[in-house]
Amino acid sequence: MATIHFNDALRLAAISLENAVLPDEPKVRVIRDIYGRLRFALDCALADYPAPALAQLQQAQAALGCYATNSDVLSHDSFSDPEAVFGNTDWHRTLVELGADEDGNPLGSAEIQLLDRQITGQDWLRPPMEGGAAHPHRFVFFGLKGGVGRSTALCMAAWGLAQRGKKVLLIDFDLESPGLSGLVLPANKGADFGVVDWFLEDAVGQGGAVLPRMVSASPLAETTIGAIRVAAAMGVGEQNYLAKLSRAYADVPSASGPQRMGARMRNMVEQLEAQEKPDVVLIDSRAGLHDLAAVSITGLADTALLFATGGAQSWTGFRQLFLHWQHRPDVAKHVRERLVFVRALTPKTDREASVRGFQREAYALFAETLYDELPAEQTQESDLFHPGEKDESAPHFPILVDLDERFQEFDPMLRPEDGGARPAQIEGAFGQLIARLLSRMDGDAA
Amino acid sequence: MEAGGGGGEAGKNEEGMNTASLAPAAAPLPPRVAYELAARRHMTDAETLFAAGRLANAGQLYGFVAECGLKALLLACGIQPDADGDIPRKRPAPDKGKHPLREHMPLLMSNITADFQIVPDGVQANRYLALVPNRNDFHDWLVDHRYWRDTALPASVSLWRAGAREISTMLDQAQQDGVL
Repeated sequence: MATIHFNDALRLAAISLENAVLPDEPKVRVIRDIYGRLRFALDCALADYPAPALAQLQQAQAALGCYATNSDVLSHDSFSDPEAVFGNTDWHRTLVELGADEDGNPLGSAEIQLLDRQITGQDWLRPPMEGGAAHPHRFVFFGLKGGVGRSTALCMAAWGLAQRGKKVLLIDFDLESPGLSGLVLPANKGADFGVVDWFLEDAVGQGGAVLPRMVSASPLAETTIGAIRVAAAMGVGEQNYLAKLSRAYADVPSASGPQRMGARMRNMVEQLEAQEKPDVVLIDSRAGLHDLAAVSITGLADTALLFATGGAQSWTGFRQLFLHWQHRPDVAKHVRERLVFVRALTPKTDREASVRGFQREAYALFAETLYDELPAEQTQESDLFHPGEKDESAPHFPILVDLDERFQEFDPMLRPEDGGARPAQIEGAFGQLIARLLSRMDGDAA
Repeated sequence: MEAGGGGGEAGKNEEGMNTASLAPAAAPLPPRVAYELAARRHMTDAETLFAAGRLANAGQLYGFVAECGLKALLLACGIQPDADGDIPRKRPAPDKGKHPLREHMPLLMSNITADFQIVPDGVQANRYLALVPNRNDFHDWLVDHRYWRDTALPASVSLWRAGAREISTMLDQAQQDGVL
């Protein structure tokens, strides 16, 4: 028998569920454990499930080789609180491609209820609950890698919004690469505490006490009619950042179960919003496919700005992220309209061709993964989400940020007379970004 | 007639008689100690006693739920079991002192906290211990309560019950995760 690898296991399990003769109810579910091993799960007592059907499940499970733990099918008997297990919100309707039969005919896809138990990354699939409290529009600035001008764009966007009278709150969640505060706050002018402190103090029950002392005003907004308030990664004069960082992500026990990173981050953002009452929140996300980014993009963002420079490295990563969502249609529906691509560092040479190429790639990626498939014949169907390639408000339609040497190794706090950028230069490079943010915010008000 | 042993002697008994047609070779017996199963059994029975108002023995069993549940987790986090499937009597070499985790509640829980470096996969253990926030629930539970008169027992059954439920929820999570 051929060796079964991770990719095969779920497909084989889904195929055997398709082929087995099973009762309609309860529908067999699948739990994938932290090692990727699969077990079938029955939302009933084992004794209430027909023996011949159970035997088929046990056999199918055993056939998964190293991707089965054993042939035990999970049921109410396996757990002390089966209601909690089977009612967990991490169960997702999941599409599994079945591959092809022996003659090469495609088998299409099957839908299973999957509980994916992962060490990390669970937050990519945890959109915020509907009907949460009203909050200012949250923009998350995300890139798969650093060095694409994300933080600079964030600062300039903050300035642009303050220029238009907005009170802007910046939050630095790029804890492994803290640097945002250096761009918007002069050295030694920050707050006493940083985001990292809140995580530690909250774990011992005094998060509320540091909250008022972790935000400071940025001089970047001095010449504007608005304000820029900054929650930096660390407080001023920090000496123990790594000792704190290594503890920041701990799950914190509480009477209502452990408080995980995602819930804690959301908590902090909500408390900061309540304290600062900003018109808009800009969040600097950790780069790459990391848990902190997952929480920011899936759990916090009203708009996630996906910074990309084109080229294989960007598309490979974003494609995997989009596929992850595509396989869980309920999550995909929730997430896709919040996404916007930013074409960062748009080169001046061959600009038009490069922009067109980026647009094409971005559209193709969305069309293939997160947009609804269009029916072969044109119908009047209106609830399908599939904006046209030229639709400028669509998620795939990129915001352009130009490559401008002036903004490389750039100090946004320098006044123009000291070599800083003039407002017109900022509007030139970042105007499109600022305009799109404002239009997304207006969308909330409408 | 007994079935033959495993390995190369399969199908033959000690006298060399062919027994293959009579019975298949017996699989080696699993170790006797099975802490997850034991924890769940004690929980079911404790709840039955609790519902029937038999609080003294329900309380005794809740303490065993906690002990067995924690030991199931510890073994899943790299503590090497003895031949019985239990936590060994001695610490690993070179120390060889008494093993701090072969204890009943509440000493077991305080030793987990105090001697945590003995758990090889501490990161994993910590993840699941975070599901058990009230580490103090069994502070007044004693294995010797079984010898006591009813009126001498502390009135803590509901606290012990809450603690046993937390441990059970932790086991549910570890079971889903494939850790147990």
